[in-house]
Amino acid sequence: MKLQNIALSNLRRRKGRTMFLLLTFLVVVGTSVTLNAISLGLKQDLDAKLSSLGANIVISAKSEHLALSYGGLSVPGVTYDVQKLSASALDKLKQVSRPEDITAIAPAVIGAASGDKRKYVLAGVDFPAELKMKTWWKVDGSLPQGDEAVIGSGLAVRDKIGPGDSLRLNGKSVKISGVLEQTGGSEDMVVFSPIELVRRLTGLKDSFTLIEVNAKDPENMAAELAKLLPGAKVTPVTQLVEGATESVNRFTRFALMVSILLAVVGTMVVVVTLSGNVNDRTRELGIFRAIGFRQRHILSILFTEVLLISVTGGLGGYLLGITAPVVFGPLLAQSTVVQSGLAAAQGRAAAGQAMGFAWYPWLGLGSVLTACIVGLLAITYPAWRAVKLDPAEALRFI
Amino acid sequence: MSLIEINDVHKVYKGGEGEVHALRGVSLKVEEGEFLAMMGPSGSGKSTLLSVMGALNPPTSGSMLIDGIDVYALDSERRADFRHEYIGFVFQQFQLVPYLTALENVMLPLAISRYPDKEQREMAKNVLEKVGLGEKCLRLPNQLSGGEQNRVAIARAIVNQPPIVFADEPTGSLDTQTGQDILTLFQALNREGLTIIMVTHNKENLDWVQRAVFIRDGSLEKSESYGPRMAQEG
Ligand SMILES: Nc1ncnc2c1ncn2[C@@H]1O[C@H](COP(=O)(O)OP(=O)(O)O)[C@@H](O)[C@H]1O
Ligand SMILES: [Mg+2]
Repeated sequence: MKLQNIALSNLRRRKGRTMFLLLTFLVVVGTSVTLNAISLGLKQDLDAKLSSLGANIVISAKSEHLALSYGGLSVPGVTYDVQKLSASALDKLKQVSRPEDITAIAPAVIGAASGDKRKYVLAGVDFPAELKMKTWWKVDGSLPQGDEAVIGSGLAVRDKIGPGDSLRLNGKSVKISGVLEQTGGSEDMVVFSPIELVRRLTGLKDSFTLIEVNAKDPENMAAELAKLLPGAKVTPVTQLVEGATESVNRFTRFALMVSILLAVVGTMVVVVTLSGNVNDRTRELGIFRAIGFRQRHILSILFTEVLLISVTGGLGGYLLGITAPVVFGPLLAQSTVVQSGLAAAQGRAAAGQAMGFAWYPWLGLGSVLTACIVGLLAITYPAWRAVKLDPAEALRFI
Repeated sequence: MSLIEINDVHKVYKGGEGEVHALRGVSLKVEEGEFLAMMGPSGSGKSTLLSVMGALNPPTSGSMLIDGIDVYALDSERRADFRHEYIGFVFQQFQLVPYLTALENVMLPLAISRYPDKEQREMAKNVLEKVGLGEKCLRLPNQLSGGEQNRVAIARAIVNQPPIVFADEPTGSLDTQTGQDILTLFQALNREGLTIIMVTHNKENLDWVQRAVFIRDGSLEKSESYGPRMAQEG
C-alpha cells in the first residue's frame, strides 16, 4: 500500500463528500468553461468571417437597414426593403486615381421573393467575380445559368431541397443547379442567382444593392470612393467589424467576470468542506502520527486527495463546458447574444445551427490548473492544522 | 540497562482552566520482554504516562530513555521515525481508520516502509491470521465486532515487528470473554518476546501480566510482581 492508496480509499469510501466536492468543481468549472468557450467561439467565428470576408470595402446605398446586411456579418430577413445603388456606380469605380489598386469588384443585388411557404433572401451576383473574391466558396453541383440558382447549405437542409429540384419564387420556377457548401455565415440561408434573374424576380432594375471591393489601401480608397459616390455609403470593412468586435469583447469580459466570481464562491465552498473534513479526521491523523507517519506523509495524503478531486473535477468541468455550447448554443445565441446586439452570431442563430464543437486546449489547461489552485488554496489551512497537530492531544479521547 | 527508563518525570498540562499536574515525579524501569500493567483510578495519569513512554507526549521535566535513546531530544519528525521503528499502539476504541479495510489498516505502518506492495500484503495477511482474522481482512471496521476491531488494532501494532507495544485500556469496551481472549493473545505475543505495557483499571486483568504498577494522583504508589507467570515464561 502506498500513501496514494490511502487517499484513494478515503475518496472511494466517503462517497457523499467526494461527490459533493466533485460536483462543486463540475458546476464552477463547467459554467466558466461554457461561457469562455462561447466567447472564444464567437471570437474565432468573427475572425474567420473577417478573414473570409473577401472584400475590404463595402459600398451600399445609404440605408439604415443595410448597414451590415451582407457578407457574413448580417441577418437575413432585414433586407426586404432596400435602397439601390445606380448601375452607373460600377463605372464610377474606374475613375479613381489609381484604378490598378482595385484588385476585385463584386456587385450584388439583394432582394426578397416569396416561395410557396416562406420568403427567401435572393442575392444576384456575378459568379466569376464573386468566386474570385470568396475563394472559400465551394458549390456542389454546377454554377447557375439563366433561370437557375445555387442555394445555401442551411436552406438545403431546412427545406430538404437540392440540385435538380425547383423553387417557386414570386410565381416563377427556378431550378437549383447546386448547393453552396456550409460557410457558417448568412450565405447559408441565401438563394444565389445571376444578377439578371434576381433583377427580373424582384423588379430591382438597373441597380445594385451593394458592391464589394478589394483594394490595396482600403482606408484611403474608401475615402476617395466616398467622394466619387456621394449617394452611397462607402465603408471600410475594419469599421464594420469594430461594432461586432466590441460586442464580442463585452461578452468576453462578462464571461471572465462570472468565471472569477464562480471561482471565488467555489473556493469558499471547497475550503469549508475540506476544513470540516480535516476536523473530522483529527483522530485518524493522530493515529497516523502515532504509527510514525512524518508530517510530509500526512501532507502527501491530503494533497493527493485534493489534487485527485481537483484534476478530475477540472477535467470533467472542462469537458462539460465545451460540450454545453454545442447543446445549448442555439438557445444561448438567441437569448443572450442576439439581445446584446451581436451581429456576428445572428446569422447563426437565425439559421438555427448549433455552435460547432471545439476543443480549446488552453481553456482545458486553464480549467485544470485553476481547479488545482483552488484545491490547494482550500487545503492550505487544513494542511497547516494537520502539521500542527499534537498526536497526544488528538488521541486523548480515544 | 533496562529497555525503558523513566526518571522523575513530571507532566503539567496548561489549559484554559489553569494547570493540571498529571504526573508528579514518576520513575520507572521496564525490562525487555515484560508484560506490565498500569493500574489506577480514572484521571490518575495512566494515559498520560503511557503517551509519555510512547514518545507521543513530551514531559514537562524529567528524562526518559528507550533502548538508551533520549527520545525527547529528537525533533518531532525523528521521534515519528522512532515510533515507527520501536512502538506499536493499541487504543480502546475508534483506533481504526474507518475508510480502510482491516487489511489496509494493518498495512498502514508498512505504507511508509520500503517493503514492496506484495510483501506488505503478505505480512499484513500473516499477522491478521495470527490474531485470528484471516477471513475478514477485506471488511471495513464498521463491519467488524468490537473484539475483532481490537484484533485488527493489535495486528497493526505488531505488523512492523516493533519491540514494544503500548495498549491503553484495550479491553475497556469489550465484554468479559472477548476481553480475556484479547489478553490471552497479548500473553502469547509477550511469550514471543514482545514487551507490552498495558493501561487498565480492571483488577481481573492482572491475571495475565507479570507485573503491575499502581498510580494515584500522578505518582507511582507501588509495584507488584507476579512470580508464577515469570517462571511460566522461562
Ligand atoms: N491534553 C490534556 N490537556 C489538559 N489536561 C489533560 C490532558 N490530558 C490529560 N489531562 C488531565 O490530566 C489528568 C490525567 O489524565 P489521564 O492521563 O488521561 O488519566 P487516566 O488515563 O488515568 O484516566 C486528568 O486530570 C486529565 O483531565
Ligand atoms: Mg486514560
